[in-house]
Amino acid sequence: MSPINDIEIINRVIEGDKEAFSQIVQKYQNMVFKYVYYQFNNYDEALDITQDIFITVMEALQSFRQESKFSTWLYSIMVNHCKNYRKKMNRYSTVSLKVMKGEDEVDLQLQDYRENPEDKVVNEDSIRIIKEEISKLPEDFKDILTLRDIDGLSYNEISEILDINLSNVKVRIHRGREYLKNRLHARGLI
Amino acid sequence: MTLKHLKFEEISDLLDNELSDQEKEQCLSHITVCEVCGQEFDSLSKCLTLLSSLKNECIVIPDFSERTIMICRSREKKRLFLKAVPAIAASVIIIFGAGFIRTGLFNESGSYVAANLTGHNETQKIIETVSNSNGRIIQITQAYIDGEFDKNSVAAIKRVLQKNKIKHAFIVNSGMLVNPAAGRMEDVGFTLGSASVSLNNDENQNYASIESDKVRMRIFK
Ligand SMILES: [Zn+2]
Repeated sequence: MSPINDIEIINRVIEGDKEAFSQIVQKYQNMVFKYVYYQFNNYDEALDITQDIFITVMEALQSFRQESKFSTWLYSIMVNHCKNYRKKMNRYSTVSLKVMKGEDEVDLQLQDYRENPEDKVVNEDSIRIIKEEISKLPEDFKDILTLRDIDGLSYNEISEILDINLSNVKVRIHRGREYLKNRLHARGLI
Repeated sequence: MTLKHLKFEEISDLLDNELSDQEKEQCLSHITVCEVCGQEFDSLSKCLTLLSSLKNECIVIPDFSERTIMICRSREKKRLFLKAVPAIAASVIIIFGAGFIRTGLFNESGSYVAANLTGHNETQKIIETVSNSNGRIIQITQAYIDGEFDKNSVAAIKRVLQKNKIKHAFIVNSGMLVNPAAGRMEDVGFTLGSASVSLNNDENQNYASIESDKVRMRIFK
Protein backbone atom coordinates (compact mmCIF):
# COMPACT_ATOMS: atom_id res chain seq x y z
CA MET A 1 0.00 0.00 0.00
CA SER A 2 1.40 3.40 -0.89
CA PRO A 3 1.57 6.43 1.40
CA ILE A 4 -1.14 8.06 -0.71
CA ASN A 5 -3.50 5.37 0.37
CA ASP A 6 -2.68 6.04 4.00
CA ILE A 7 -3.70 9.65 3.57
CA GLU A 8 -6.88 8.68 1.78
CA ILE A 9 -7.83 6.33 4.57
CA ILE A 10 -6.99 8.88 7.24
CA ASN A 11 -9.15 11.49 5.60
CA ARG A 12 -11.99 9.05 5.54
CA VAL A 13 -11.55 8.34 9.23
CA ILE A 14 -11.45 12.04 10.06
CA GLU A 15 -14.61 12.55 8.06
CA GLY A 16 -16.32 10.02 10.26
CA ASP A 17 -15.74 6.65 8.64
CA LYS A 18 -14.19 5.17 11.76
CA GLU A 19 -14.22 1.65 10.38
CA ALA A 20 -11.69 2.67 7.77
CA PHE A 21 -9.10 2.92 10.51
CA SER A 22 -8.97 -0.86 10.65
CA GLN A 23 -6.98 -0.78 7.42
CA ILE A 24 -4.35 1.37 9.08
CA VAL A 25 -4.20 -0.88 12.11
CA GLN A 26 -3.93 -4.02 10.02
CA LYS A 27 -1.19 -2.54 7.92
CA TYR A 28 1.00 -1.43 10.80
CA GLN A 29 0.14 -3.68 13.72
CA ASN A 30 2.86 -6.23 13.06
CA MET A 31 5.51 -3.61 12.86
CA VAL A 32 4.32 -1.75 15.93
CA PHE A 33 3.92 -4.91 17.94
CA LYS A 34 7.39 -6.11 17.12
CA TYR A 35 8.94 -2.81 18.01
CA VAL A 36 7.18 -2.84 21.36
CA TYR A 37 7.91 -6.50 21.89
CA TYR A 38 11.63 -6.04 21.38
CA GLN A 39 11.54 -3.05 23.69
CA PHE A 40 9.99 -4.86 26.60
CA ASN A 41 10.56 -8.49 25.77
CA ASN A 42 7.17 -9.44 27.15
CA TYR A 43 4.37 -10.67 24.91
CA ASP A 44 1.41 -9.69 27.07
CA GLU A 45 2.83 -6.31 27.92
CA ALA A 46 3.52 -5.72 24.25
CA LEU A 47 -0.09 -6.55 23.38
CA ASP A 48 -1.40 -3.96 25.81
CA ILE A 49 1.03 -1.29 24.75
CA THR A 50 0.37 -1.90 21.08
CA GLN A 51 -3.33 -1.54 21.70
CA ASP A 52 -2.74 1.74 23.52
CA ILE A 53 -0.59 3.05 20.72
CA PHE A 54 -3.29 2.50 18.13
CA ILE A 55 -5.85 4.16 20.35
CA THR A 56 -3.53 7.13 20.75
CA VAL A 57 -2.94 7.27 17.01
CA MET A 58 -6.60 7.12 16.19
CA GLU A 59 -7.47 9.79 18.70
CA ALA A 60 -4.65 12.03 17.57
CA LEU A 61 -5.42 11.59 13.89
CA GLN A 62 -6.87 15.09 13.64
CA SER A 63 -3.52 16.50 14.63
CA PHE A 64 -1.62 14.70 11.89
CA ARG A 65 -0.49 17.60 9.72
CA GLN A 66 0.42 15.49 6.71
CA GLU A 67 3.77 17.26 6.51
CA SER A 68 5.58 14.00 7.05
CA LYS A 69 4.76 10.52 5.98
CA PHE A 70 1.99 9.00 8.02
CA SER A 71 4.21 6.08 8.97
CA THR A 72 6.84 8.46 10.34
CA TRP A 73 4.24 10.18 12.43
CA LEU A 74 2.89 6.86 13.67
CA TYR A 75 6.38 5.62 14.56
CA SER A 76 7.13 8.73 16.57
CA ILE A 77 3.97 8.21 18.57
CA MET A 78 5.03 4.61 19.04
CA VAL A 79 8.54 5.53 20.17
CA ASN A 80 7.31 8.16 22.60
CA HIS A 81 4.66 5.90 23.97
CA CYS A 82 7.25 3.25 24.75
CA LYS A 83 9.54 5.83 26.31
CA ASN A 84 6.81 7.08 28.58
CA TYR A 85 5.78 3.59 29.47
CA ARG A 86 9.33 2.70 30.37
CA LYS A 87 9.64 5.78 32.55
CA LYS A 88 6.47 4.86 34.33
CA MET A 89 7.67 1.31 34.84
CA ASN A 90 11.11 2.34 36.00
CA ARG A 91 9.52 4.07 38.93
CA TYR A 92 8.38 0.70 40.13
CA SER A 93 11.27 -1.29 38.82
CA THR A 94 12.87 -4.02 40.79
CA VAL A 95 16.50 -4.19 41.77
CA SER A 96 18.70 -3.46 38.81
CA LEU A 97 20.78 -6.28 37.53
CA LYS A 98 23.61 -3.93 36.89
CA VAL A 99 26.72 -3.57 38.96
CA MET A 100 29.48 -1.05 38.76
CA LYS A 101 32.81 -2.43 37.72
CA GLY A 102 35.25 0.39 37.88
CA GLU A 103 33.70 3.07 35.75
CA ASP A 104 31.60 0.79 33.66
CA GLU A 105 28.15 -0.45 34.32
CA VAL A 106 28.16 -4.15 33.68
CA ASP A 107 25.23 -6.45 33.32
CA LEU A 108 25.16 -9.27 35.78
CA GLN A 109 24.51 -12.23 33.64
CA LEU A 110 25.69 -15.63 32.77
CA GLN A 111 28.04 -15.50 29.90
CA ASP A 112 27.63 -17.99 27.18
CA TYR A 113 30.93 -18.45 25.45
CA ARG A 114 29.98 -21.29 23.21
CA GLU A 115 31.69 -21.74 19.94
CA ASN A 116 30.26 -19.95 16.98
CA PRO A 117 28.09 -22.48 15.18
CA GLU A 118 29.67 -22.94 11.84
CA ASP A 119 26.49 -23.35 9.88
CA LYS A 120 23.92 -20.66 9.27
CA VAL A 121 23.98 -17.34 11.03
CA VAL A 122 20.25 -17.37 11.59
CA ASN A 123 18.82 -20.26 13.54
CA GLU A 124 16.48 -20.66 16.47
CA ASP A 125 19.21 -20.28 19.03
CA SER A 126 20.72 -17.22 17.51
CA ILE A 127 17.33 -15.57 17.25
CA ARG A 128 16.71 -16.23 20.91
CA ILE A 129 20.08 -14.82 21.87
CA ILE A 130 19.79 -11.71 19.80
CA LYS A 131 16.37 -11.01 21.22
CA GLU A 132 17.77 -11.33 24.69
CA GLU A 133 20.59 -9.00 23.85
CA ILE A 134 18.31 -6.44 22.24
CA SER A 135 16.16 -6.37 25.33
CA LYS A 136 19.24 -5.63 27.41
CA LEU A 137 20.50 -2.80 25.26
CA PRO A 138 20.63 0.70 26.71
CA GLU A 139 17.40 2.43 25.71
CA ASP A 140 18.92 4.81 23.18
CA PHE A 141 20.56 1.96 21.33
CA LYS A 142 17.48 -0.18 21.53
CA ASP A 143 15.32 2.50 19.93
CA ILE A 144 17.63 3.22 17.12
CA LEU A 145 18.69 -0.31 16.26
CA THR A 146 15.11 -1.50 16.19
CA LEU A 147 14.15 1.28 13.82
CA ARG A 148 17.22 1.02 11.64
CA ASP A 149 18.24 -2.60 11.59
CA ILE A 150 14.99 -4.42 12.23
CA ASP A 151 12.47 -2.11 10.61
CA GLY A 152 14.92 -0.86 8.02
CA LEU A 153 13.99 2.81 8.24
CA SER A 154 16.18 5.46 6.65
CA TYR A 155 18.45 7.77 8.61
CA ASN A 156 16.17 10.65 7.72
CA GLU A 157 13.03 8.92 8.93
CA ILE A 158 14.73 7.99 12.17
CA SER A 159 15.87 11.55 12.66
CA GLU A 160 12.26 12.69 12.39
CA ILE A 161 10.84 9.95 14.53
CA LEU A 162 13.33 10.31 17.36
CA ASP A 163 13.53 14.05 16.91
CA ILE A 164 17.31 14.12 16.86
CA ASN A 165 19.53 15.50 14.12
CA LEU A 166 21.06 13.39 11.42
CA SER A 167 24.57 13.37 12.81
CA ASN A 168 23.25 12.17 16.14
CA VAL A 169 21.37 9.44 14.35
CA LYS A 170 24.62 8.31 12.75
CA VAL A 171 26.60 8.44 15.96
CA ARG A 172 23.98 6.51 17.81
CA ILE A 173 23.74 3.87 15.10
CA HIS A 174 27.49 3.42 15.15
CA ARG A 175 27.69 3.15 18.91
CA GLY A 176 24.66 0.94 19.20
CA ARG A 177 25.91 -1.45 16.58
CA GLU A 178 29.33 -1.61 18.10
CA TYR A 179 27.84 -2.28 21.50
CA LEU A 180 25.54 -5.02 20.21
CA LYS A 181 28.23 -6.54 18.07
CA ASN A 182 30.48 -6.83 21.11
CA ARG A 183 27.69 -8.38 23.12
CA LEU A 184 26.96 -10.93 20.42
CA HIS A 185 30.64 -11.65 20.12
CA ALA A 186 30.86 -12.22 23.86
CA ARG A 187 28.08 -14.75 23.54
CA GLY A 188 29.88 -16.51 20.76
CA LEU A 189 27.26 -15.72 18.19
CA ILE A 190 29.45 -13.84 15.76
CA MET B 1 46.58 -1.72 1.68
CA THR B 2 46.48 1.42 3.79
CA LEU B 3 48.30 1.15 7.08
CA LYS B 4 45.54 2.22 9.40
CA HIS B 5 42.75 -0.21 10.17
CA LEU B 6 39.23 0.92 9.41
CA LYS B 7 37.21 2.58 12.09
CA PHE B 8 34.04 0.86 13.19
CA GLU B 9 32.05 3.80 11.84
CA GLU B 10 33.48 3.26 8.41
CA ILE B 11 32.52 -0.38 8.39
CA SER B 12 29.06 0.49 9.61
CA ASP B 13 28.66 3.20 6.99
CA LEU B 14 29.94 0.87 4.34
CA LEU B 15 27.25 -1.64 5.17
CA ASP B 16 24.66 1.11 5.10
CA ASN B 17 25.98 2.47 1.85
CA GLU B 18 26.57 5.81 3.50
CA LEU B 19 30.04 6.36 2.09
CA SER B 20 31.06 8.33 -0.94
CA ASP B 21 32.21 6.29 -3.91
CA GLN B 22 35.78 7.11 -3.17
CA GLU B 23 35.60 6.16 0.51
CA LYS B 24 33.76 3.02 -0.39
CA GLU B 25 36.46 2.07 -2.83
CA GLN B 26 39.18 2.59 -0.23
CA CYS B 27 37.39 0.69 2.49
CA LEU B 28 36.60 -2.25 0.26
CA SER B 29 40.11 -2.56 -0.96
CA HIS B 30 41.39 -2.48 2.61
CA ILE B 31 38.95 -5.11 3.75
CA THR B 32 39.87 -7.51 1.01
CA VAL B 33 43.49 -7.53 2.11
CA CYS B 34 43.29 -6.91 5.87
CA GLU B 35 42.20 -9.91 7.86
CA VAL B 36 41.41 -7.93 11.00
CA CYS B 37 39.11 -5.52 9.25
CA GLY B 38 37.68 -8.28 7.09
CA GLN B 39 36.66 -10.13 10.23
CA GLU B 40 35.20 -7.00 11.74
CA PHE B 41 33.20 -6.49 8.59
CA ASP B 42 31.93 -10.07 8.68
CA SER B 43 30.95 -9.78 12.32
CA LEU B 44 28.93 -6.66 11.81
CA SER B 45 27.28 -7.92 8.70
CA LYS B 46 26.28 -11.10 10.54
CA CYS B 47 24.96 -8.98 13.36
CA LEU B 48 22.87 -6.96 10.92
CA THR B 49 21.65 -10.09 9.20
CA LEU B 50 20.42 -11.38 12.52
CA LEU B 51 18.68 -8.13 13.30
CA SER B 52 16.98 -7.91 9.95
CA SER B 53 15.88 -11.51 10.25
CA LEU B 54 13.75 -10.38 13.17
CA LYS B 55 11.70 -8.30 10.80
CA ASN B 56 10.35 -11.49 9.30
CA GLU B 57 10.09 -13.32 12.55
CA CYS B 58 6.62 -14.67 12.84
CA ILE B 59 4.89 -13.70 16.04
CA VAL B 60 1.22 -14.46 16.25
CA ILE B 61 -0.74 -11.44 17.37
CA PRO B 62 -4.43 -10.70 17.45
CA ASP B 63 -5.99 -8.16 15.11
CA PHE B 64 -6.06 -4.89 16.99
CA SER B 65 -8.34 -3.05 14.60
CA GLU B 66 -11.77 -3.90 15.94
CA ARG B 67 -10.88 -3.25 19.54
CA THR B 68 -9.14 0.01 18.70
CA ILE B 69 -12.18 1.39 16.96
CA MET B 70 -14.49 0.18 19.68
CA ILE B 71 -12.44 1.73 22.48
CA CYS B 72 -12.04 5.01 20.62
CA ARG B 73 -15.76 5.20 20.01
CA SER B 74 -16.66 4.72 23.64
CA ARG B 75 -13.96 7.12 24.80
CA GLU B 76 -15.25 9.73 22.39
CA LYS B 77 -18.73 9.41 23.82
CA LYS B 78 -17.35 9.86 27.29
CA ARG B 79 -15.33 12.88 26.22
CA LEU B 80 -18.32 14.56 24.65
CA PHE B 81 -20.16 14.07 27.87
CA LEU B 82 -17.37 15.44 30.04
CA LYS B 83 -17.03 18.38 27.71
CA ALA B 84 -20.70 19.18 28.04
CA VAL B 85 -20.67 19.28 31.82
CA PRO B 86 -18.38 22.27 32.41
CA ALA B 87 -20.11 24.10 29.60
CA ILE B 88 -23.35 23.66 31.42
CA ALA B 89 -21.81 24.75 34.68
CA ALA B 90 -20.12 27.78 33.16
CA SER B 91 -23.30 29.09 31.72
CA VAL B 92 -24.76 29.54 35.23
CA ILE B 93 -28.18 28.39 34.41
CA ILE B 94 -30.88 30.38 35.99
CA ILE B 95 -34.23 28.84 36.39
CA PHE B 96 -37.11 31.01 37.40
CA GLY B 97 -40.17 29.12 38.34
CA ALA B 98 -40.92 26.58 35.70
CA GLY B 99 -38.96 28.55 33.14
CA PHE B 100 -36.64 26.43 31.09
CA ILE B 101 -33.13 26.88 29.97
CA ARG B 102 -32.66 28.19 26.48
CA THR B 103 -28.97 27.93 25.84
CA GLY B 104 -27.82 26.00 22.83
CA LEU B 105 -27.09 23.04 24.98
CA PHE B 106 -30.66 22.40 25.85
CA ASN B 107 -33.75 21.73 23.94
CA GLU B 108 -36.92 23.34 25.14
CA SER B 109 -37.84 20.71 27.61
CA GLY B 110 -34.37 20.66 29.11
CA SER B 111 -34.13 16.96 28.52
CA TYR B 112 -30.81 17.23 26.73
CA VAL B 113 -29.00 17.87 29.98
CA ALA B 114 -30.79 15.11 31.66
CA ALA B 115 -30.08 12.69 28.89
CA ASN B 116 -26.37 13.41 28.92
CA LEU B 117 -25.61 13.30 32.58
CA THR B 118 -24.97 10.08 34.33
CA GLY B 119 -27.85 9.09 36.49
CA HIS B 120 -29.89 11.37 34.34
CA ASN B 121 -33.14 10.66 36.11
CA GLU B 122 -31.66 12.04 39.29
CA THR B 123 -30.41 15.09 37.49
CA GLN B 124 -33.73 15.79 35.91
CA LYS B 125 -35.43 15.41 39.23
CA ILE B 126 -33.06 17.84 40.89
CA ILE B 127 -33.35 20.39 38.13
CA GLU B 128 -37.10 20.23 38.15
CA THR B 129 -37.22 20.56 41.89
CA VAL B 130 -34.92 23.54 41.89
CA SER B 131 -36.85 25.23 39.16
CA ASN B 132 -40.16 24.56 40.87
CA SER B 133 -38.88 26.23 44.01
CA ASN B 134 -37.91 29.51 42.41
CA GLY B 135 -34.33 28.36 42.79
CA ARG B 136 -31.25 29.09 40.78
CA ILE B 137 -28.86 26.42 39.63
CA ILE B 138 -25.31 27.56 40.10
CA GLN B 139 -23.33 24.60 38.98
CA ILE B 140 -23.84 21.15 37.62
CA THR B 141 -21.08 18.62 37.85
CA GLN B 142 -21.06 14.90 37.41
CA ALA B 143 -21.37 14.39 41.14
CA TYR B 144 -23.60 17.17 42.34
CA ILE B 145 -25.66 20.22 41.57
CA ASP B 146 -25.28 23.49 43.45
CA GLY B 147 -28.40 25.53 43.78
CA GLU B 148 -29.52 28.65 45.57
CA PHE B 149 -32.96 28.95 47.09
CA ASP B 150 -35.18 30.91 49.34
CA LYS B 151 -34.78 29.81 52.89
CA ASN B 152 -38.48 29.13 52.95
CA SER B 153 -38.31 26.53 50.21
CA VAL B 154 -35.65 24.41 51.86
CA ALA B 155 -38.06 22.12 53.59
CA ALA B 156 -40.01 21.57 50.41
CA ILE B 157 -36.89 20.81 48.46
CA LYS B 158 -35.76 18.41 51.07
CA ARG B 159 -39.00 16.59 50.90
CA VAL B 160 -38.69 15.99 47.20
CA LEU B 161 -35.02 15.22 47.21
CA GLN B 162 -35.00 13.18 50.34
CA LYS B 163 -33.06 10.44 48.70
CA ASN B 164 -30.22 12.70 47.68
CA LYS B 165 -27.43 13.66 49.93
CA ILE B 166 -27.80 17.37 50.45
CA LYS B 167 -25.11 19.70 51.62
CA HIS B 168 -25.89 23.29 52.17
CA ALA B 169 -24.64 26.64 53.31
CA PHE B 170 -26.05 30.08 53.67
CA ILE B 171 -25.56 33.15 51.66
CA VAL B 172 -25.30 36.18 53.90
CA ASN B 173 -24.62 38.98 51.49
CA SER B 174 -24.78 39.17 47.78
CA GLY B 175 -22.97 36.12 46.54
CA MET B 176 -21.02 35.54 49.73
CA LEU B 177 -21.15 31.96 50.71
CA VAL B 178 -21.02 31.30 54.40
CA ASN B 179 -21.68 28.23 56.42
CA PRO B 180 -22.98 28.84 59.93
CA ALA B 181 -20.04 27.03 61.44
CA ALA B 182 -17.09 27.22 59.12
CA GLY B 183 -18.01 29.99 56.78
CA ARG B 184 -17.81 27.72 53.80
CA MET B 185 -19.83 25.13 52.01
CA GLU B 186 -19.82 22.04 54.10
CA ASP B 187 -21.89 19.12 55.05
CA VAL B 188 -24.12 19.93 57.95
CA GLY B 189 -25.74 16.56 57.96
CA PHE B 190 -28.96 17.35 56.29
CA THR B 191 -30.40 14.23 54.84
CA LEU B 192 -28.91 11.03 53.63
CA GLY B 193 -31.64 8.87 52.27
CA SER B 194 -33.31 9.26 55.58
CA ALA B 195 -37.02 9.09 56.18
CA SER B 196 -37.05 12.14 58.38
CA VAL B 197 -37.23 15.02 56.01
CA SER B 198 -38.73 17.83 57.96
CA LEU B 199 -36.49 20.39 59.61
CA ASN B 200 -36.21 19.81 63.29
CA ASN B 201 -36.10 22.66 65.73
CA ASP B 202 -32.34 22.81 65.94
CA GLU B 203 -32.03 23.11 62.23
CA ASN B 204 -34.67 25.77 62.14
CA GLN B 205 -32.76 27.71 64.68
CA ASN B 206 -29.68 27.31 62.62
CA TYR B 207 -31.35 28.94 59.71
CA ALA B 208 -32.93 31.61 61.79
CA SER B 209 -29.63 32.70 63.23
CA ILE B 210 -28.39 33.70 59.82
CA GLU B 211 -29.39 37.04 58.45
CA SER B 212 -30.15 35.86 55.02
CA ASP B 213 -33.09 34.64 53.13
CA LYS B 214 -31.09 32.61 50.66
CA VAL B 215 -29.61 29.20 51.13
CA ARG B 216 -27.19 27.49 48.88
CA MET B 217 -27.31 23.75 48.56
CA ARG B 218 -25.14 21.11 47.10
CA ILE B 219 -27.29 18.26 45.95
CA PHE B 220 -25.49 15.01 45.28
CA LYS B 221 -26.72 12.62 42.68
ZN1 LIG C 1 42.57 -3.35 8.72
